[in-house]
Amino acid sequence: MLEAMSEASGQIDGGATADFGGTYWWHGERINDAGVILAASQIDSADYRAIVDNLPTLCWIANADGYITWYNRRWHEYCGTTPAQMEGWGWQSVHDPAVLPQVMESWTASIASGEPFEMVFPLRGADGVFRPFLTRIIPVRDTAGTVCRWVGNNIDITRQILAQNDLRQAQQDLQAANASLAERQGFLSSVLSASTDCIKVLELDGTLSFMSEGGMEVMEIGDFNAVRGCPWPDLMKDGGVGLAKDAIDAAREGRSTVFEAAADTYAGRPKWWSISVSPIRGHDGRVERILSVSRDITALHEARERQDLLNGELAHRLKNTLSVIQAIANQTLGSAVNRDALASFGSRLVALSGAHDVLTKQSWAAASIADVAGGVLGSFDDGARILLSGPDVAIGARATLSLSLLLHELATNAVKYGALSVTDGSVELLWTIEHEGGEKILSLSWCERGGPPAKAPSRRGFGSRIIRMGLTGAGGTDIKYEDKGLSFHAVAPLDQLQQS
Amino acid sequence: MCHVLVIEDDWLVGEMIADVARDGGATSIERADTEAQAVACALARPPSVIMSDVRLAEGTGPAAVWQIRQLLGPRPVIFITGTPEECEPCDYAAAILSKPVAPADITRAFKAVVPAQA
Repeated sequence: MLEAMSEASGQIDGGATADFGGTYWWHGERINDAGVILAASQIDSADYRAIVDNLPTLCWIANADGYITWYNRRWHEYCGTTPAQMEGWGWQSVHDPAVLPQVMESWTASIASGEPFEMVFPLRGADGVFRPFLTRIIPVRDTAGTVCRWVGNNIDITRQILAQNDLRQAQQDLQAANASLAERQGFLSSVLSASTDCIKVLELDGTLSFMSEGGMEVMEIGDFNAVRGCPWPDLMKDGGVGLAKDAIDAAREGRSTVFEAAADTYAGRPKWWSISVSPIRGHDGRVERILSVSRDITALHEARERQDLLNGELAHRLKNTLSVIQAIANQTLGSAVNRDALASFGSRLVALSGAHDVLTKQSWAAASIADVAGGVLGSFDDGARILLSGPDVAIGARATLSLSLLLHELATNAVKYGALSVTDGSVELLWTIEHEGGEKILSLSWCERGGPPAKAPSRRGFGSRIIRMGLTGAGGTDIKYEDKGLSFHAVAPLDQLQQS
Repeated sequence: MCHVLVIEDDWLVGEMIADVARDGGATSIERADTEAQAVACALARPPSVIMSDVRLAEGTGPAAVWQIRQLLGPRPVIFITGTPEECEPCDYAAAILSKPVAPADITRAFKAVVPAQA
């Protein structure tokens, strides 16, 4: 570590130079306080000594052969040496041994040629620290032109070297940073162009300002300038325009959204896209731009449409098949069984078909209890007499069929014997989710009011069994025949209802 | 007299509808299973009531009924279909029943439109 040499105080020896502060040098002449010009001879050697001792550099004088005869005071102050130690070639003791041979070589060459010497080398201070010194030595010639003296000057350039080092370091850091930035930029742009998604950057007004290479390929855009600055929503078709505008509004407010929309490629090829729109934030956290990533889902969309078509066709065939079953039953049993039994069979088949309708809408994955109940009970309700109330809960396909048949039986009975057999009666269907030891239980109740007193059936047929088997076919039901009307309650683990 | 035209390409379902109509008071019943046949039957003997499917093996029920009504004038029509959403145009229909349909529901719809017995 380099350390700058301390500035000397500038104090002057007393006595011989007592009047030094009272005289001035002006145009090479010396004047005193009174402005009287003093004769050159009046400039005494003490003045010169004061000057050279206090020069803010180390300096010295050598004979023509390089033998140093005199050093100024600063030299000794810095090196912590005495004139006796330094005289002649004693200066070598304050040099760095590693650099000294080079110094000697240059110095002896100058002595031989009489040419000035200039070099930077370290000198050890009194504190043991080496500091860099810019050293210049010039020859002094006599009237015949022969070198008779050498005058040397050593300037501490520690600070300059430090500054130079800092500058060099800063330059290296800058180069490294530039290189890593270029590398990072190259990496990012290679990632961007490798993606088959169409990655776009929008300005806050929704206009396009960037599109990835891969994105231009999938959008069939040859030159980005063809769409630069265009309002991005205008590239959408139909409902996509509004969805894109909504997504931009959301992104401006800092929210990310995903939507699907149709948009033609630039070459006019119709495509479907899954589009994710999110805010790009600046350093201060404010939304500066908007990122839009579109993935081509045309194949998926077409597959989905085919699937929907197929599901619809299948549902239609199923309904026709159920109709045929009903027709066969009518033809086969029409004369053999009583009309009521045939009618019950028919209406149960209709309830089952209703459940199929609800399931078809969800690709047979799940159905909401409200949809199932609404589907089954709609045909029984002649004027808002059946009240449905409960949370939005989805149940599986099998549970949907059980619940449909169950509600159908309850409603049929209510129409025949219960609250719906009179004009003032009503039914309340309530369902809730209850937590029981970490398990979710669906609790469903059917409560009739305003009808005749309920009576337990004298004969237990298939209808009663459907009701008793409850939501999963495993029971968990409770039915009460009371004067105020029938009430039915069923519970089942939600897990079970959703799996089946 | 109540002559009923049943347009239904599924023989069994057509039989059931015909039975219901007969029980409900139809005096004569004719069956057709294509659009063209339905129009021909109606022209040969104009029906008092039409009970029709929507999708047929050839053509559609609504198309047949539209032609019959153009040629013979309005008359009560009940559609019985697995695809009620495809029943177009049929805002004039007395009822649109979804398959499968309970015979009792057909009876109810039929009795609502059948002309009073002479």
